[in-house]
Amino acid sequence: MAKKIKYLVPAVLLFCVGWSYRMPSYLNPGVYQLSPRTTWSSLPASAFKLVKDDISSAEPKDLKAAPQIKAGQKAVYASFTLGNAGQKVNYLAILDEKAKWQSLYVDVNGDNCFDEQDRVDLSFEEQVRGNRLKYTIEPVVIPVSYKNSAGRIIRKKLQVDIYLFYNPNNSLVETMHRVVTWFEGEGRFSPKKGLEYPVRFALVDLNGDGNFNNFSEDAVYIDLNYDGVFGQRERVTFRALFDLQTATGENKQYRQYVFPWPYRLAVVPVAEWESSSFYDPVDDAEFPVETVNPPAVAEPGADKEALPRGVKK
Amino acid sequence: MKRRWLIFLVFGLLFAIGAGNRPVLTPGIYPVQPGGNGWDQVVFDKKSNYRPGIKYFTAIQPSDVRLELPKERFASFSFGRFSLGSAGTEYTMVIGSQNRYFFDTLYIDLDRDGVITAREEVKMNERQSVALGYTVQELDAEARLTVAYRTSTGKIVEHPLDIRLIFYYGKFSDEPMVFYMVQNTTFLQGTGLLNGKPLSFALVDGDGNGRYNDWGDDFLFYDKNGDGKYHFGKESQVLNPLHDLKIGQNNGIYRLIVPVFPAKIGLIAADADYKMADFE
Repeated sequence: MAKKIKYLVPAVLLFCVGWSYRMPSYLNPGVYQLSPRTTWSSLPASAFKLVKDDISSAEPKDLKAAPQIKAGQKAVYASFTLGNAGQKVNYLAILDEKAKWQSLYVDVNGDNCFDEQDRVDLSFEEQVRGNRLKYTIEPVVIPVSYKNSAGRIIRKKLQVDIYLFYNPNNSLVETMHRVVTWFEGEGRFSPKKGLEYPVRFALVDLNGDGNFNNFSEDAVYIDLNYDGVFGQRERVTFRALFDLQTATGENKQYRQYVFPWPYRLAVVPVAEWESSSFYDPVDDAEFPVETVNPPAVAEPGADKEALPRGVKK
Repeated sequence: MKRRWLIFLVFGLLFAIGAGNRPVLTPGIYPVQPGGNGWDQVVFDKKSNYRPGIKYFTAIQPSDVRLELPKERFASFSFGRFSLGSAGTEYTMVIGSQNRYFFDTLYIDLDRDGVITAREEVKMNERQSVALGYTVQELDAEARLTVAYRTSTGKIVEHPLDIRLIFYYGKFSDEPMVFYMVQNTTFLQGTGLLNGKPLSFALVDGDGNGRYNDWGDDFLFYDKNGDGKYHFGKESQVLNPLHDLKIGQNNGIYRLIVPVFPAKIGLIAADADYKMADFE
């Protein structure tokens, strides 16, 4: 008997723990408002994945101004793309005379200049797997261009962390970035037939391209246990199409719709979606935009007098 | 032996069921007001790993700020800017550095007129200072700042907040680490019911932005042991808009209503109607 109880105890404990955990399902049909967030204490570390950037020792083609690279210094250029309008974000890391990766210049305004206002200090250093790591503790704020469904450019601010990995000889191994802006919303959720509850959810740009609608690559977290934080186990599959059992117990195929910079997340029945136009992001009254102008392009030669001291043309 | 296992089984079951339940106020509406003893009443131990956002100084003077300071006293100036509240209150500060120390003198544009004068000097207190091969300087400064909030009806209201700025300078090699953090030490206190018993609770602006309704970043503390202090961890939880209550007639999902600077907070049925203005 004692032996039986011995096995029974862990079985009952496992059952109880498992019982309190609801398997992730998905949000009920509806259109849910989203708001951007930039602090990440509610999400697990794995929600902000580092994405490798393109490195080059050659200057970017359209570079207009950059700090002078003195003798003994080394410059490395890297870039990543953000948004659905193909906005390339260039940055420059400089290995100084003391063999330290101390300065980072991020061309946040896309004017092809690395000037003093683009400078970010890299103060913190950590050891990771035999290599060293420096990163931007305070995220870099980048205005990103998004093309909406009407073909208009809207600009939204995205917060990005940049990481430099280098070996003990100070050779840069790789550079990486991660998007730390995420979206929060409140949706409806049916844990079982006949019940429907409000629930908080998060939308995360996991692949770091600045677009929040990469199905299967980005992630949705639902706070299923109502503890106020999104755990790793609360991540649900982010798919365009899926079957869902509604509160009435009916099974239907649904489509999820999210824009690259999302104002709302919509879960709509596929059949209705085809003939519906209720989800139109071009309605300015409902979707205010910060600016509708693309980044200013300087006239040829206009930058000649504006070059800061110490920068080359 | 058999009896011991049975006891173990019962405790295991109680633990497994109980572990999932977090303390939540009894549904109701509770007035709150700024706490009396400042940050000392909220205890963040070293293990709490609590730190509001780190911010950097910049050598570039903001174009909308003018200095009327004895410039000859300092080798350099570094600028910092932080936002508070929900109606665009921004404070600019400048650190005047002599050659020897990074943090020498702090000025904050207290009247936010865009001109930083010598009269706006704020005293810094040294927390830690080491100069043995490497240098660590940690200081803090406290100031009462007026912060603007936009209410749900669009009205602008102002509240004073006690702010603590923590400055850190570390020089372990050639490269110094210099940053600062903003803490809002004004917490809002009320008396609520927890499991039917009255107890004090506190709403704490965890991320130091002057707003009290940042889900996941701000905190709700309960003085469970009645010692008059709020201990991080045992007596705290992150601010969460939705709560799953499993208590008798209150079984269901409840919504915590917290305006940006609340006069009251409420825990009401999730789908019940409410006006945010009633809590401001």
